[in-house]
Amino acid sequence: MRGRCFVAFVSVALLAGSPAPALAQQRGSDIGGQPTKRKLTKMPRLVKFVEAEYPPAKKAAGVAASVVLTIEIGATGKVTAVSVAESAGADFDAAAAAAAAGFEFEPAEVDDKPAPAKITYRYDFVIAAPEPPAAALAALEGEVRAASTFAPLGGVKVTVSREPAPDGAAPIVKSATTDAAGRFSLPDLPAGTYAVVVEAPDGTTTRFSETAAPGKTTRVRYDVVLPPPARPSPPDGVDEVEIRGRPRARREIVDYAVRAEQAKKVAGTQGDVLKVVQNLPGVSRPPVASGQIVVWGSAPRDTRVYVDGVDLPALYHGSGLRGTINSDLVASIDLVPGAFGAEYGRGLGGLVRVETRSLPRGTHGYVGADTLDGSAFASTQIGERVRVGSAFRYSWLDRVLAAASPSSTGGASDIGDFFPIPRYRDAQLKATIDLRKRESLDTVVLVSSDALDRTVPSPDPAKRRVEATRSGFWRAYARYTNTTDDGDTAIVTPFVGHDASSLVQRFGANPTRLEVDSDRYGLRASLRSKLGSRVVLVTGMDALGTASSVSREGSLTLPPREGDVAVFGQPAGDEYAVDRWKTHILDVGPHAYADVRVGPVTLTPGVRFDAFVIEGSKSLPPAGNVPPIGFSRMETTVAPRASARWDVTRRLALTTAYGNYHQPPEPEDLSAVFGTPELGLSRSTHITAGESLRVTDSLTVDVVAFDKRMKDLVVRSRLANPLRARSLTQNGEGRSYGVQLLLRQELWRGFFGWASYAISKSERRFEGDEEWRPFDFDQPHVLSLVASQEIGSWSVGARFRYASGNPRTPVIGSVYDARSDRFDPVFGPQSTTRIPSFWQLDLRVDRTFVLGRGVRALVFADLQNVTNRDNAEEIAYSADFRRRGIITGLPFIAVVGGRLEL
Amino acid sequence: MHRSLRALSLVVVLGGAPFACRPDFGDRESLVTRTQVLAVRGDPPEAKPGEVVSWSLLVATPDGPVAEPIASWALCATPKLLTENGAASAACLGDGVRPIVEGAAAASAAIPGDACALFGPQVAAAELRPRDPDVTGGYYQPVRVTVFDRGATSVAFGLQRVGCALANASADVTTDFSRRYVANANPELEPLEATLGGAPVALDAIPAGATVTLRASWPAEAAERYVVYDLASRAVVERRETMRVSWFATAGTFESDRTGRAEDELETSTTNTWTAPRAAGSAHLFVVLRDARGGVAFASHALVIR
Repeated sequence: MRGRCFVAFVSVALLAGSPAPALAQQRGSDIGGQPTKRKLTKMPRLVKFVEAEYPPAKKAAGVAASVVLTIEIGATGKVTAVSVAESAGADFDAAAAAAAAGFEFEPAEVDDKPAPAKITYRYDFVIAAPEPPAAALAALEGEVRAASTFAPLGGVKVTVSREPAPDGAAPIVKSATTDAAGRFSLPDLPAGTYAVVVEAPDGTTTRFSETAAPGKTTRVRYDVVLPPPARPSPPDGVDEVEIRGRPRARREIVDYAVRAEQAKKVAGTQGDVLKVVQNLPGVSRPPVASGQIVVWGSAPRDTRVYVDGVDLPALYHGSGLRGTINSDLVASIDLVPGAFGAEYGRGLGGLVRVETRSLPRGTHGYVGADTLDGSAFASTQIGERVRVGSAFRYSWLDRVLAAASPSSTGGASDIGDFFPIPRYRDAQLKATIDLRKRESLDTVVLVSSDALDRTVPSPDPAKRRVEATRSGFWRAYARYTNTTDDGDTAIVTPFVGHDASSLVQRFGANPTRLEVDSDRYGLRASLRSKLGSRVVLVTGMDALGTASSVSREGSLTLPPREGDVAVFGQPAGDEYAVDRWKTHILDVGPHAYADVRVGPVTLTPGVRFDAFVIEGSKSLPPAGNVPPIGFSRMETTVAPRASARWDVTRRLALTTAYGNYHQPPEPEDLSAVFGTPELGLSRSTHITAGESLRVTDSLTVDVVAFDKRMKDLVVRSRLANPLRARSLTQNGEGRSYGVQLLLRQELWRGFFGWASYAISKSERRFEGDEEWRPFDFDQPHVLSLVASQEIGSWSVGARFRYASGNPRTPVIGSVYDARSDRFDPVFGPQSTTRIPSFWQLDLRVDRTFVLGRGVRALVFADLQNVTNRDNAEEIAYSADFRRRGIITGLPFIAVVGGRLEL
Repeated sequence: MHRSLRALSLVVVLGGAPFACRPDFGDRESLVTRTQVLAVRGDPPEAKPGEVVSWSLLVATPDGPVAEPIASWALCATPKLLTENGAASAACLGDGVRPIVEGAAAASAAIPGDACALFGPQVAAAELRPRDPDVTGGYYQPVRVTVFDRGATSVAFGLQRVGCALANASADVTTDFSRRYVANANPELEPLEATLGGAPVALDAIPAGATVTLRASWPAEAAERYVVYDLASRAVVERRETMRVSWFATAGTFESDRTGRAEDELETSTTNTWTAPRAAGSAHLFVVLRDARGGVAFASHALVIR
């Protein structure tokens, strides 16, 4: 009987949930005997239900039925008559009628007065299905730690959620908060795959995916990356509490770090973590498809890129379309535009530091594809101590363009002939071995390659163009980390690698070729020791050797150098030279610095000693049968570095930094024919001063003023007949100064973003000149606005950029070269005009789908230049230089893609 | 706009390509729209210091060739800096020249004795860097020509090839080179052939709007074989001159502004098409033939469109 009652109740209840519940429950109701002109103002409502006796024989036979009754209800609500309108058999009819006779109603009302009524009622006899056995429940337990220190995090909200499953399983959302030990427990979860959101008290959220096995407790550990906390002064008499653990890379005085999970969301980056660097303060906007990094007015090659402390030749593939490291293997990326500490050297510009991600436990991965390329990443755990991950990327833009080209419909088939289409590949392999407690070994292999080909056919032999560019590198390194119980940390990273680049051009008769092959090896080691409660001493070694083999032919002026006076597309001079040479540059750089805390002031004095050994195979150009004579010399430098931070209040800090920097010559510049084998070190001095204001726990304002002075820069000789092996000189001087502002909102309630603005000036001159000229990449005003908001499974973002145009030398006339049958430009004063300013708005939207079983899908659209603005990328001239126009950059484009994550 | 550029616009929208679009000025190098120096011819085209060279001009205006152009002639006396890409030093547009003659259609002068020092590999001291040759092994004395016509001034540089000694070559290579090298000679143009639909057509009877096929030819010996000191192998190697033809006209449209034959193309002619204006009238056509070592031949033709 209980089952029947339940069935009847459910039946009514289900009907009540339908769009027209009254009519469904009382199908065909009418008001008997009432004049139609009277108005029914209230339907009768069942207030007492009587269960019918299920005919035993029918129940035993499993027979269900429905009996439709006509029930007459009096003005008091009592049932006055019951008759069968649709029979289901005598036994069912009798049982239904007997039950209905006992019903009680609130009476119907006509013209707002109780009145008798007659309704039609269907009584369903349903055999209740046996209740399914209760699902075996699961539990999720674990702890949450700070990724930087492994310290437990209390007060962290852990929320698990499961969307409705295709089989109808109900959605589930449960939360728990970690205790002081960072532990949490979520019992009684139906088995299945859950999205896990870990939300720190400051609003920082991190997402994971977990599978809860039936009848088991799944134990997890989440290491979450938190924004740098405010640095409150310890109370008087209390030493600052030190959190032990593996330290992340030391933060510099001017250091902009972006966590990978945020960087992926920045509009215009197509989810590429490394491309976020281009939107950070102090970074000039690079020319389209160049992939160059210009920070604080330094030349692109003066900024160094490090991955886990290992030098890389390029952060981006040659086209600038992608980073050379898979974003899923990146934990964070830091930009230090200048005044960095003693750990780094060999560069006059800034630093870009990439930290690879700790491989997660379990098996994870993704497969992704978009308009530009396809990529994948997979990692797994082998036993308790070993984790292995691998990623790769393969570009197919050239094929997409070929497929999208109208050539198939009879249009142009020569897109690739006129516009170089980049092809790039990269792959990474990382293995982590947890040796002992607080002791680990990471081994990493990075591989990248780029290719760019272009052929321009012409009936004129002088205008047939062939261009082939190749570049690539690989690195293999091991990173050993050992942290003692006292908190002292030792990190040792030996590495080897190879860089290769090749540029082959033939514009008409004059070929250009530059091939560089470099073997690289080195070691980075550091020991961080705590000396008392207020001093931390770091000593280290940074050694890098580069053995290069270089081959070059063509004009001295191609490839161009900073400061060359030329216009876009202008052929190099007709002069032709050839050289092959080898170089070996070894730099051993022991260094030390200390963090000394004196009350609210932290002083970081440091010093770096560098010993450069520079060797080459030719000190003079070849002459007759005289065998080449090599050269070898050593230069040593002492570079003081220092910084200070004064925490004026809990939220306000004043900072300053100073440093001397040295940079060895490039192997390409040590040619006895094209360059100068005796080139020495270029030098620069950086000074910064700024403030950092933490408005809220997640909103900061940083203002930094900087000044860079550069000397001994490598420039072309200005003589018509320089000495042999002196085509380049070190008479270049530079200065760069400015102020930059960063207003930054860390992740808070799904939102993050920043606004950065820099006003600066970067200039160069030849030693002895009175006048300075703008640096070729000088951009006095650079503004970036970045914002991203997470709304449920959606994420939307926008990026706005404004940048001054780079300086150019105006053309004031032309002269006809009757031998080459072309016009040569006549130039005005150097660098006295500019490319028009640039601004662009990009948008991004993505959505995440939880597919169950730990699988998520992400679909995104990255809309670039949504206003379709014709941004100027370069100034171009007509063949006779009488007319001037601009080369415009990308129109509106939509890069769409998606990825499937496990 | 070039059809590829149009196609690219679509492709970029579809594919997000990392490209930029170059402006289309709509200019054709082959259309003579103002007074313009089309060629400077040295005779001989290659001479050693002290030898006398005569230079002549081909100057065109929208009305046709200038028979006796008024030109100022000067020898450039300032070498280029290492940083300069052009044919001659910017100083040679100013006072850094040695004047030859004023107001003449042609000029003659001896190649200065210091030409190989200023523009060639000869250096005043052993520690100085010799200048680099071009890819054919040649060094060139710039000759500045300033043409005055109808109040306008056109400046051009003719580059006179100068016979200089090899730089940085061993004695045996120098000897071998001297023995085998033959100074350049100017090429010659054969009579221009014009055909319409495969049949010869007279240049003074071209149908309006017709597309005429033009063939410029030269004797087989005009594309000379020559030896050059190869800087990579540090040996004397033999090469063959490329031949380029520059086409100009005061009206109508060429299919290609320039045509030619590369070093490995043995043909002794090159073809182009010219589409006559749709209206009857006259026009002028100019053909300039250049070899890889600075040799020049040119011709002008009066066209009548009927």
